[in-house]
Amino acid sequence: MIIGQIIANGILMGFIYALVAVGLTLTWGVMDIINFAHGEFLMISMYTAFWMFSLFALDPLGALPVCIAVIFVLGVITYSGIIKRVITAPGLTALLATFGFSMFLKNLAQYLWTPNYRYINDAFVSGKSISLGGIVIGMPQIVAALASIILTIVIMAFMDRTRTGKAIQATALNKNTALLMGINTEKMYAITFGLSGACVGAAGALMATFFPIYPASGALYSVIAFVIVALGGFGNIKGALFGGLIIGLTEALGGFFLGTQFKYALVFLIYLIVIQVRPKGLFGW
Amino acid sequence: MLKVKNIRVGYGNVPVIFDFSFEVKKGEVVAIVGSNGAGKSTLLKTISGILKPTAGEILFNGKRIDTIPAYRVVELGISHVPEGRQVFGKMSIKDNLMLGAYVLRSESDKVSRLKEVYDLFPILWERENQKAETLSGGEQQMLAIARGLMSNPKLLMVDEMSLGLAPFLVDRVMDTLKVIRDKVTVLLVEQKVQEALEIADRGYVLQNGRLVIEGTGAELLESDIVKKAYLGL
Repeated sequence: MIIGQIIANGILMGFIYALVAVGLTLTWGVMDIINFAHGEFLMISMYTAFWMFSLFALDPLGALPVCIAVIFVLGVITYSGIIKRVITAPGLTALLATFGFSMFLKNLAQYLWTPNYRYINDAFVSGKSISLGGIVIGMPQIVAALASIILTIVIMAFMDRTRTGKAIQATALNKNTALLMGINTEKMYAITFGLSGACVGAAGALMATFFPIYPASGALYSVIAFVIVALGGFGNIKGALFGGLIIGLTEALGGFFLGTQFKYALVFLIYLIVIQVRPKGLFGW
Repeated sequence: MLKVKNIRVGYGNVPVIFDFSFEVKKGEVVAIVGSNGAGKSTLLKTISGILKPTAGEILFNGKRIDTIPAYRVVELGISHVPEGRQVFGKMSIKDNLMLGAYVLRSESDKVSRLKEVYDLFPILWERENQKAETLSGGEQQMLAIARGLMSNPKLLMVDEMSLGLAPFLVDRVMDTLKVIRDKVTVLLVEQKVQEALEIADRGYVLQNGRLVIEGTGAELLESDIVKKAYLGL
């Protein structure tokens, strides 16, 4: 029974990780940019949810659209203010630019909101749980996992079914030819960065109900998301979904069998093995 | 329809086209021929807005187009079929074609374009759900031309459509141009000088980024310069 409990925890966390990773993999897949400030986007979204809650008494679930919108805009601003200027430069430039931006955001948060841990204690989902055959699952985790699944599916459908989604794919495959089709590729890049932000913005609002909120709260998740993206194949949305589940389970099971202090060691061990054995990822082309 | 006036184009500090002028009139097929490296592809990229000229101007139906972004040029009615086909290999043939119609606003326009293009190239209709990368070179070239026609252009520019094709396929692809020319003005850029000048109303010979000679297709085929330099006669 305890194993069932652990697997359930791992899967639920896996779906949330997946949503964060889908955001990260989008920008890589479309424009070969790894955004190291991705985790800080998550942190800002958590603070957005926190302030919505404490200033306007808006429940994190109600603040979900606000968080998505705020981080979408942050993504678009990041693209037009930073990425656009370095995208044609050698790869390392963009990497360092986003890394620098992540430091800036982290320290800005510390300056504005102090390094203290903050919590949203009495959200709508707080303290509730459901029990299924002896497995007890917290309501915050269930809601977060379900919302993550829905949003991941929405992003996939958007990319596969809509005119803009197809145009983004075309831009990713061949930018100059996309231009010749009349596609405004700059705009597609901006939208992609916005969508990437929207994913992590949603994840932030959902995680704010059961994780502490502080300036470095996103840092770990951007590294975990990076591992998931490498596991699923860079740029592969479905891969990110499965990679998220694998990492969620690894963390939960590893924490149980080896001790919680080793759970991330196991996660990164998987990363090391994957990049040695199959650098294009488990689901890469 | 298209007037190119004294343009100069280069990559960084390396000039590729020096002071070149030419024009295309409505309903014509115009060929620009020359050997590899003469600046032919650079010329088309400049017209479609991917490259910007450092001097001179380009007018399309009286409107300057060298100052607007590439995606706006398509909206004005210029379609550029790029060198090497450049189909979106991982996407289906139908998706490729629909991307060609990206600038069309109405769904019914897109559907009627699709039907027209499928009538022209039945093979594409048979395989519409296949990935573009599964097509042979000649079929990919047809797809690239069909995709170029999807935006209902006034001017279709085709870059080096014989590149990498077997001789009998070159003929087949050239034949499609003979059908298209009734509906759309065509600007052709080719290394296969003979084939291109045979189909063209008028032609320009480009050498090292400079105009060498211009005339009707027949005149150029008879000229000493073309005979000696390109036809090996």
